[in-house]
Amino acid sequence: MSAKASSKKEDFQFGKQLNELEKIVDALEAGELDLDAAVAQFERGAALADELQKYLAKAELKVKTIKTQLNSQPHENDN
Amino acid sequence: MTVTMFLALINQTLEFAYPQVVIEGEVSSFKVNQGKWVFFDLKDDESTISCFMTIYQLKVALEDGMLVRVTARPNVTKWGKFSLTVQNIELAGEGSVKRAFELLKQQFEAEGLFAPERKRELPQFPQRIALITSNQAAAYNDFLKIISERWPHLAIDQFQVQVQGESAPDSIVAAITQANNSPLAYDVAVIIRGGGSLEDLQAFNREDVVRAIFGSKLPTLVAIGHEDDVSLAELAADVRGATPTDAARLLTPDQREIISSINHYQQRSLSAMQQHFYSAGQTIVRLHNVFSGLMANLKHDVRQLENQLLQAADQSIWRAAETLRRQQQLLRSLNPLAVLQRGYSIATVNGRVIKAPAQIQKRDTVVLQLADGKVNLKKQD
Repeated sequence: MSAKASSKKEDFQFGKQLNELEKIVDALEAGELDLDAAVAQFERGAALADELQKYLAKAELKVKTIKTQLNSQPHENDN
Repeated sequence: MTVTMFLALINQTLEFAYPQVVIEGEVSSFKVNQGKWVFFDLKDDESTISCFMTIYQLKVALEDGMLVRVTARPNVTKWGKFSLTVQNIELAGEGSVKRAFELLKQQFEAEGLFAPERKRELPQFPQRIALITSNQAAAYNDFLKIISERWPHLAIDQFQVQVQGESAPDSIVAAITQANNSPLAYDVAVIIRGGGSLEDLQAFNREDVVRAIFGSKLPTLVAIGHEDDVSLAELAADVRGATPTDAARLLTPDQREIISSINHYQQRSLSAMQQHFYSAGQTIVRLHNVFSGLMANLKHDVRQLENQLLQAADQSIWRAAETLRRQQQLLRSLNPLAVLQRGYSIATVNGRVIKAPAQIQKRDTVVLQLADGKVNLKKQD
């Protein structure tokens, strides 16, 4: 997939966090950080990976059917 | 009765007997007067009938030669002309449909509705979408299946519409409008339907549908029919899916790939950290070695200095002793009395040491100091 703009609504973290994680890994591999900074980055990266995996684990597709009429009432229709 | 009365009677009779007729025929002499009044003739191989409608009722592109199906009310004009007042007009037959498609496509291209520059990107991680389709269609289930495999983190509001038939275009336009006006901010408006004949897919070549898609503030993802069917709606969309399944793939990332990426990131981080610690350890070992080396050198140097110092001290003492010894020797050898032991004697007159016979006078007494005593001597002459 080519690079796409992030969701414009509320601060949606997923894309940003994934991006940050990638940058941290690159920085660690570049080996230019001193040991303290590297440890701090490593811990931040681990925390990010954790959060991302938590989000992905919550797998539930919510489908709601909406009638397209003038006075429509949305009703639940789980799929 | 008068002419006017007769015509009124005829029209009343027609309205009673044929309030609405559906007639199929070919369009000819199509013209639009003053941008409002549409006139054309509807004909078959033998006969022709005049048709009239307003431009606002005309929702399809018409051209001479096209086959159409007209829903109309027959009447006689006040000039005694038999005419059809058209209420609804549909394209009939593939030829017409194709032709109308071409006409509209050219028009829209000229207007810039298909311009690539205006196409917006879809968000990479969508959270909520408006899905405009019919939940009776296989396309709907196919789409949902792929989504639930790839990215089941989506909130989907499915706007139920007709995807073919007469009411389809209005229903689709209404759904697009409703999705755009919803207080829920959708990330994407997705419009899908499965394969079908050219006529089945007609709604997605309709001007109102295409304009609604183009005018949508929500980014649009449209996938109609099979790969080879490209509708005008798809051309006007921000992103086109070749099929509803393809649309599902374009809309979402594959979480399996992402999970794999994250695992990979974790591994790489761990390796990188191990490398960091190893390097740090190496640095410590190196420093330790350097330090040990320095210490060893230092100790060695100190010992050397010690030895040198001791050696130097020894030498000084020895030299001093040597010097003393020599001085003693010299002193001893310079002792005048030592000379006597060798057989020499010291002659003195009146206490003074003499070295020549002339120093002795006639009456002088010479004291001869020998090793073992003194002897007084007088000169005999």
